[in-house]
Amino acid sequence: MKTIYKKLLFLLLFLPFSVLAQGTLGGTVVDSKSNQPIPGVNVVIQGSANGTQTDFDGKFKLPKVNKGDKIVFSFIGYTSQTVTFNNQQSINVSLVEESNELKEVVVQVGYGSVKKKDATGAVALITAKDFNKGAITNTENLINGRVAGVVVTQGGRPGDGAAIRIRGGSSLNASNQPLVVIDGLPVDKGLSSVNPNDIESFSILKDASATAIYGSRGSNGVILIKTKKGTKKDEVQFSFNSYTAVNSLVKKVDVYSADEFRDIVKEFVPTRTALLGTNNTDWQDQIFHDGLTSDSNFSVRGNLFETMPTRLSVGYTKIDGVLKTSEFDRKTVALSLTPAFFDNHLKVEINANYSYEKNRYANEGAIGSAIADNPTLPVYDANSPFGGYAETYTEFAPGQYTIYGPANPLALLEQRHNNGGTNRYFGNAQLEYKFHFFEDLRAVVNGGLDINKNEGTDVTDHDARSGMKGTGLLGSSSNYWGNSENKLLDGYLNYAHLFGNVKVDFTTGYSYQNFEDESYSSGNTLDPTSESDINTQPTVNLQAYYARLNVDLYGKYLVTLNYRRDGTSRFSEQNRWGDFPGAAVAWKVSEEKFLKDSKTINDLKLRVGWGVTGQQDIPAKYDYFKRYNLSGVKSGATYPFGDVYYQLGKPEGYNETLKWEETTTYNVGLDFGFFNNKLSGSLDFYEKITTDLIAQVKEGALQNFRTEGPANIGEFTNKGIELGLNYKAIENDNSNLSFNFNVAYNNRDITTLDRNEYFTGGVGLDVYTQILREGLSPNSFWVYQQIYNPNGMPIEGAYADRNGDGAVNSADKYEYHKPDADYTFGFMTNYNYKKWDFSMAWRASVGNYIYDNVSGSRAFVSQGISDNNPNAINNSPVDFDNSHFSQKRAEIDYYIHDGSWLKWDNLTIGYLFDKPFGLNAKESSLRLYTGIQNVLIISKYKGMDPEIFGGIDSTIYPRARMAMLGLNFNF
Amino acid sequence: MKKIKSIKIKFFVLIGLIAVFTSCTNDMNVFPKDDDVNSSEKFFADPNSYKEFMAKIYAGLAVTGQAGPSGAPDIQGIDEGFGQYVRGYWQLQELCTDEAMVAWGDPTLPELNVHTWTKDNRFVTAFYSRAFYQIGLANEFLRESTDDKLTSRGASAELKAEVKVFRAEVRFLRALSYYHAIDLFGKVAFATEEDKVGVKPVEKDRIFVFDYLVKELKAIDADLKAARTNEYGRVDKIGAKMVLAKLYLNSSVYTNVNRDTEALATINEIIASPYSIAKVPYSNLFMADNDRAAVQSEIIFPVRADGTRTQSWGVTTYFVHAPCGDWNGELGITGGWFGLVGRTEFANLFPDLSGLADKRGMFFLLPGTTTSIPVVTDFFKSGGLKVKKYSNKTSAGVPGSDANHPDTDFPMFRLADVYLMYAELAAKGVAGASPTKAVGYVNELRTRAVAGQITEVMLTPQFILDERARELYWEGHRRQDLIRFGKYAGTSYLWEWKGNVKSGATIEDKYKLFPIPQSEINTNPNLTQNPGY
Repeated sequence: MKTIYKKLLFLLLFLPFSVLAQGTLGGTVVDSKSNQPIPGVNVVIQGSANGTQTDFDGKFKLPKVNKGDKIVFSFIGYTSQTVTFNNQQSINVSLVEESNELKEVVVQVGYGSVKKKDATGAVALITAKDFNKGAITNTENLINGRVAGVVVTQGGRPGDGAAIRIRGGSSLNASNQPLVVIDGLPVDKGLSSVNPNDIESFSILKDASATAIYGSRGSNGVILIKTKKGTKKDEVQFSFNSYTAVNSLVKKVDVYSADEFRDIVKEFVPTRTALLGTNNTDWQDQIFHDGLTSDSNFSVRGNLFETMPTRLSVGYTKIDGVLKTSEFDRKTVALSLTPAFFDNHLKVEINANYSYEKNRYANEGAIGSAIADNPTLPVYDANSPFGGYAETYTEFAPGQYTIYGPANPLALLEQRHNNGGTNRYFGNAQLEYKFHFFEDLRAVVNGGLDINKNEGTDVTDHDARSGMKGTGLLGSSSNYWGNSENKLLDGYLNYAHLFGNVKVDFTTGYSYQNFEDESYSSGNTLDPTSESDINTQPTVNLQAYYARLNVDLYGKYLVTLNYRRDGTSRFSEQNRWGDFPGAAVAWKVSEEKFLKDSKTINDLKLRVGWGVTGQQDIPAKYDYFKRYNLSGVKSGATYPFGDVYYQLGKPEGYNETLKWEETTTYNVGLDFGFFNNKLSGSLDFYEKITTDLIAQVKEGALQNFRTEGPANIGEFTNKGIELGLNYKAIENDNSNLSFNFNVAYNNRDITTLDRNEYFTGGVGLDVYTQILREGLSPNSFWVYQQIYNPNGMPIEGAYADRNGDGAVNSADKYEYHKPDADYTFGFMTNYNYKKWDFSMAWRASVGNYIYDNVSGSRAFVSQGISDNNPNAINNSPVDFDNSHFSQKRAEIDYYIHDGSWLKWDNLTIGYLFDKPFGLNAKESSLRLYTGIQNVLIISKYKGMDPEIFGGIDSTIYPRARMAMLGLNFNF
Repeated sequence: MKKIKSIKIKFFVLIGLIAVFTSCTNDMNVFPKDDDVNSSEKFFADPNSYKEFMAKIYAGLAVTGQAGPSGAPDIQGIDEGFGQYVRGYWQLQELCTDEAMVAWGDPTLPELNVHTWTKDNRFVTAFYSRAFYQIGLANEFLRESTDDKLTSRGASAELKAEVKVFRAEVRFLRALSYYHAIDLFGKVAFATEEDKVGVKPVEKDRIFVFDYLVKELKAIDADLKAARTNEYGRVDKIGAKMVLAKLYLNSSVYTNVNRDTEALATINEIIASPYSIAKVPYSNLFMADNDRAAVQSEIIFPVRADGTRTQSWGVTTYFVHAPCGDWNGELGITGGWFGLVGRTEFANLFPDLSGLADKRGMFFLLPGTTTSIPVVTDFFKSGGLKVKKYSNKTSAGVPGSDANHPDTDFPMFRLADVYLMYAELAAKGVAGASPTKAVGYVNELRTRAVAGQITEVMLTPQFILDERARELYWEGHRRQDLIRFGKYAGTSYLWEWKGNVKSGATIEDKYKLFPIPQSEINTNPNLTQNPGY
């Protein structure tokens, strides 16, 4: 702006010579709604180079205006206006803001961005107005439930990352997580150290025509995250956000109370009634408590030296989990600099982030222990040698103990001190150079770095039962560290030119990324036979060449072609490289003559896309060549010849033929907007076919040096429909009411498999409940059909002879539902009335089934309630009332229940103070809000929480309900 | 001009970028970086590697992975204890007989007690995987230790001579596992070092494998070390002859051809060797210090263990813990596992349970119980013969080095067995087997057991069968013996819970063989199932 002033001053000097038949036009430009002046508005004489901009107060002076000249007023986000000059002295112009949909126009598509209305693939853009509100402590939760087909499963442990599935995931044993890219840097260490307050937008690429540009990493979708940057505006903006919430347990696992337990033992294990105590302990009450979460974030945005938009933010989050001794603490600093030089020919973007996370990890074995522990026992025992906690034991010699039954769950938590801290530095530096003499060409170089250093100590008290070695007390003290480094170098050229009515945009480039990982564990330093070990992972190196061509014909017909050639260090040289093409066409029907002026349909775009992507992210870093493992000298795995103990040299199994998984996706979509975007949304139909599926499969006798390993085994199809809708019910000066709704249907099917079946879903020693089999959804439940008596109780051990061969054996197992949901829903509504705002969000899942392993592994007599050790009796989930099983009967459909759920995730109410504390600054506001997170769960499933990832409920860290109070202060 | 200049510059920039980046594609050839893992070239560059590889194959009988007692398993998808070699073999040879019964209810385990197992039985599957894992490792060792390979790695003449002996020992270990496999399963998957890794193996029947094993065991005799001259734990010529003798003795069962004469010849060679019956009390053979010289003289092939250095949840960890109740202090271990007991018919082979009339009977009963077992599972406190044969205490009464994992070795083959094999042939009237000598051998064992002496007239096959139980019980022989004597299937001998009936019932012939695990048949179309399963 300053440069323009200078130019104006020069011009003014020449004014005296140019007054003839010309005048100066002055005036003010304001916003039509708020009547606030708008600075920086372009005021230009149409068809000339004569122009100016409005100043801080919205005022402008435009000299040398001739009568009849058309003056154009334009500013981003507003509809332009043209005024004819008729020698007015001054004019006041009121600009109208463009509707929201068209304002937030830019979506990241990988190595570039595109206007949402010009996107040819199935992409979703989530920005601040769409984010989930309320107590959000980690980044993935911002988008949970907001996009059709994107399912986020957030664990309950403080600081936990979330599992994200886009369109159900395309793999079995290879990773199903989408590729996450932060400011151009693909990261593999999760998002728990990123402060959600620093995120500006998520661009989610769902179909292969969009993700093929990420080739071997794009099969499960891509999430592109853009962090907040500084601003070009002159004034500095401060923002302070803070909230505090109380975390409480929503539901306990339903087990017997002490008195109910006494009745059960008397009836079913009468030989052990002597083991009943006189107390009434609720073990789950002992280990869970209400914790506190507090989150504060302060940021500054401005334009340093008027050339460098800068943003600096600091954040602090502290969470006290609902499980005692579970604590999480995170400090983050984020700096972003986006200066531009040489008149915007060289744009620099530097993002630097640092975070320090501190965790006290609770011993989660306490949850299982609390379910099984005898409720008639006391919590404390003054005579106990185990730190005063009551345990079941006998001292058969001084200091020598035999222990029985489950450990005291409170002791498991309190006698263990497992503390770790992680330092994470990540960021990138990007240079974008627009060639001076050839402005259609840009070169971009992006270098990124993600360094994680973690270390911790794990101490178990000397007198803890869980620290015993053999029959005596020992305790344990170990320390560990880990280092990992992810380095990226990307370079690409972009050429964009308008040839008449045809816009061409071509990008080509190269990407190099390297992952290193090393970790150390000291072993138990109190145990002389224990060994320390440094585990160095081999490097994973990924390189790729890519290109993309976008053609826009007449603003109506869009064509995108992309191609990527990807190489990975994971596979042998013959199988190392893969080719991943993609193509899409889109027809902006609403730009056609017959719809252009329609008032009903303001946006209609039809998209058809196809692409091939790959998957190479399997746990094995290099499975293709022969290697040997030597056991450690103190590992306990050595063998004596004579008196000398030899380490064991073991050949590792390998698979030379292991190669990429490839997924081909077809996508047809429709983006629409009606009544000036009062109702808008998109509808997509897709089909994904994955070939050469990588799965962890059983390798038979004499086929390899292991009994399980990764192999390419089959083909898999994934079909679905997605619908996302936005409806602005009310939009006026006083109030706004909007609804956002999305629903997705997804069906996954294994189409070919190289052998009959693979068993998965292990729920104990060699007991499997799920299967991979042709024609079935992956990991469908595969169990016996339980037979019931006329009263509805199962007849123990009686299963249907489904193949009628007179014998009941594994051939009689059948498919009984699956863990995948058929439909997933998300719903959000936002309502503003004057200064009040109200928001709520819901999610639902229909058709997902759950195997209740909490009951399946405990609710029976022999080796359940009646412990293997005759000196112990264990509590059981109340499912035992329905079954009365005398022993473990795991592989039956009796334990599989409908886990469909409807969750009311969030309710927030806030009030906005306009000019708080008498601050007169333009954009100052103070909002106070209160709300509840995890309000309500509606489900037929009787377990703790039906939102189980993978379908097997084996006790989870419970998700807390949070009641919060917070404020957003901007000034 | 500007346009050409810009195109030229673009071109050079592109070339430069490509040059820099293509040189990086070599970065995708990665290598192991961890100090415990080596590419095979690096591994074999160290001359110690051959012995370490051989140690792995020996250890395959004793441990279950690269970390003891568990943590880095060789076999995935199976509990490490269940997948241990000796424990798995023992369960399949003992639980289906009168000698033992297990009280635990782990899925498919009780089936082994009562002859109701199916082709999905987890313990059958676990042992099959483990036995063939051993054979696979042996094949690989033989591929990597050929003379050509050693020469190409620059091995010295001493190393080559050493490796020649290793090769013979590894062939023995492979033969041992094939022998166990045909004894339990009949027909088996078959591959040698001539076959390639990754190829699905063919199936061979008992007769083919029997002939192959006889050839193998004879061929390695020349390279194996002379009797009692090898490091303790490694096999010698007599060990190979032991397996050969077992094959010949059971030949009627395996091949329908009687080879008792060949058996006798081999047995005589073993008896003529420097091995001798240990002059220690019987119980010392199963104590924590059973690797002392005094005991070593009798042990032809041990599976060794050590409380801190050779740990597993099988072998003697299992043998000491599993039959133990709350008398663990006596045996020098942490708490018992309340699992294994003996059955009534086995107990009745002894004069009484006090051990006074035959010190080999190390038994007792819990107060108020008898040897009778009332129900099929969870019966440990309510019945069954309690056995205290294996212990983690030394002969001096000192507990072993670790209360969780005994130092006690497992005597897989011992001379006492050979004496009884001789006596068996004499009792069957095989030409060249002298009944006088046989009675002498039996009495030598009975002297050690402080049991009464026998006379020639008592030397009958039934007596030998019973004496084998008295001398060799819980050492993994019973099922093989019962089948050989024709007392396993059918009604000729009934014992408690045989055939899933408390008083004992007949079992079909199909149960003389274990089923080929269904999961193995699923992975290899060359394999077929045993009849009846």
